[in-house]
Amino acid sequence: MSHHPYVSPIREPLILGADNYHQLTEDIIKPIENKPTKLWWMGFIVSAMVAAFGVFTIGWEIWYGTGTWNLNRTINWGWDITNFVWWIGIGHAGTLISAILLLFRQKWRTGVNRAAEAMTIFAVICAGIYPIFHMGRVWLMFFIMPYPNSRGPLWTNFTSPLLWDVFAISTYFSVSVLFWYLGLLPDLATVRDRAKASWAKKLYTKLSFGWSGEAKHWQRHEAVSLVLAGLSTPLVLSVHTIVSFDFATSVIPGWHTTIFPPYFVAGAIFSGFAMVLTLVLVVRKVMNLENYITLAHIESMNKVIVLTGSIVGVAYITEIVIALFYSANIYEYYAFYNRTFGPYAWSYWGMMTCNVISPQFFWIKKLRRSILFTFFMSIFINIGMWFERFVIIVTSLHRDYLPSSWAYYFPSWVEIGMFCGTLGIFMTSFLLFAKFMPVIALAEVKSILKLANDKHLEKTKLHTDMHGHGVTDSEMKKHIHGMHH
Amino acid sequence: MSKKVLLGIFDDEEHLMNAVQPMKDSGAKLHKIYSPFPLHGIDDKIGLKESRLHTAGFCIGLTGFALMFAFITWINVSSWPQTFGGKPHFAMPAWVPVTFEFTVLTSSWGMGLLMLAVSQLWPGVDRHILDPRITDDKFVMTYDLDENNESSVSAALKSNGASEIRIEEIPEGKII
Repeated sequence: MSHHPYVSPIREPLILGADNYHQLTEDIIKPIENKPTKLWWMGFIVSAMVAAFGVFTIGWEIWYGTGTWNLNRTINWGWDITNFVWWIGIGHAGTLISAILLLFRQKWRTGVNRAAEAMTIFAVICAGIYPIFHMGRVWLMFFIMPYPNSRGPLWTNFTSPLLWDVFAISTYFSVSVLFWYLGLLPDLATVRDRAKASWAKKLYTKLSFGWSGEAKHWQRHEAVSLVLAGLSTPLVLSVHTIVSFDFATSVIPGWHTTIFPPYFVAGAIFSGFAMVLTLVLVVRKVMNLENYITLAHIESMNKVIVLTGSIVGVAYITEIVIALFYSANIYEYYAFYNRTFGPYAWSYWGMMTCNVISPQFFWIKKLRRSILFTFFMSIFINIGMWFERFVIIVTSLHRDYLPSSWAYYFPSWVEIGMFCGTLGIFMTSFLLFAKFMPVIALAEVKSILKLANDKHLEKTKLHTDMHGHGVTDSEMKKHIHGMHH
Repeated sequence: MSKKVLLGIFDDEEHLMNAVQPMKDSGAKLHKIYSPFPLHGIDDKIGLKESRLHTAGFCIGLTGFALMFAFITWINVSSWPQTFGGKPHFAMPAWVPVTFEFTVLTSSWGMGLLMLAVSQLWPGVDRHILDPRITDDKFVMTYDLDENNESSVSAALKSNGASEIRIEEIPEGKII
């Protein structure tokens, strides 16, 4: 029933250096108790300033309207929706790590799941900003909810993908928060029990909901975690499927594509893992967690990247093949010809380089285990995946059926400001999280400590070497013979 | 009235797991077990029944599903029927996404909140923390001294590997 910890002796250790629970607690909780480092303050101040600028541009947009964006009649979705899809995609890795890898019993997820889940929540917040302010008169936002109103029996359209999105994203956000916070309870209790300052004691007593670690509570906690993982798995797949429906159910050449759902989901996981890597590579360094987020974790994530990157590459090529050889539709031909050789070709080839060609380097083990290379790749992939959404949205729109209305589009300072602003909001939230909450799922790592720490694995490996191999045939026969009698 | 419990503190989960059966044999009546992480296999040993939260989550999800399905049906068929491309008003396939999301939403939150409620976990709950090291590296068995004899349980704990044995007084009105 429950997820039994089992780590094969041939696996790489997931925990280095520590072989007792107390040391684990010390290593993971210390950064919360210590004063923030200079590096933290620098990061915090810079990202808070960028966030503040973002809030200013949002205010500007509310005051003067969406006319402050450079959208036009032809290109009516631009940076805003690109950013929305980009952020939502990034969020997916957190759920994949915490839910899908829990169902697959991947023990390495315990080192990175907490940070990835937090990243999901902040990414979804950033994503939500875009469609909300795209509404223009944002104070009428509540119109998107179906509620009895004085506008006649006027209801939202339940057959529209845009309304599906409202439900999908709000559910995704709220379930992610629940999953993340329930997982945090035992670790917040650890912070509470170690707290010395009275304000910290009070704060963490409230935040930890009075967690005591009683056996029945653990049993319920695990039951709920497992079911939430089971529910989050189809949920996360549905979210990006529905985002892709925003495009796929339209009749715009380049959008009207049935392969969008799996292609978007793979792309989402791809970009999400890249963002998780960007964050954890910094976090492990700044907070001295190299023993808990090890090269084994990084390599595992790079393997997911090479898989999903290849799926995305196959999808790009499939799209072209379908358009050219299967669609029998001149508008489809043109959409893809224009994408690859038209005025926006730079974005298409940027996307191809970053998303299809570069992740293939991760077939090489040495590069999968190189921190510097991984860091650059993670940023590269994030840029590539942003390009992908830009390519899909803008290049499909900018040359429509009527050449007289063809147009080109460049973002205004307000659009760029909002994008930078969400990066700022994301980083500010993440830094605050890393300062006040355990970035590693302490209780979960404790549960695999005995099986996955390096000293233990060294011992079992020795044991296997002595007894596993080098058994002669006659010895084996004798053994089997003995079993029969 | 304040209550007294005897704590048997163990340094390792294996020590505690191994002590469960001999402690039961010694006649001591176990109150609760506390640990920094879930102990797999402890449920059977101390006779904890499997949680019924799964069933509850399923029922709540089913209710959410039925409510949303009925709501959309009523809107699209009766309250505000509209024709899109000559399709029927009862356009079920198009309702799948919203109904699905709402089912997930209700069962997750229903189950999560139910777990917190039945375990008495919420901000401001008046819980007495038996030992701050339980959330760090100690594994604890507790024995209610109203039901157990202090000296015999202490002796049994000592002979079964407890590294520390002490009495904790629970102030009146607090839960543990």
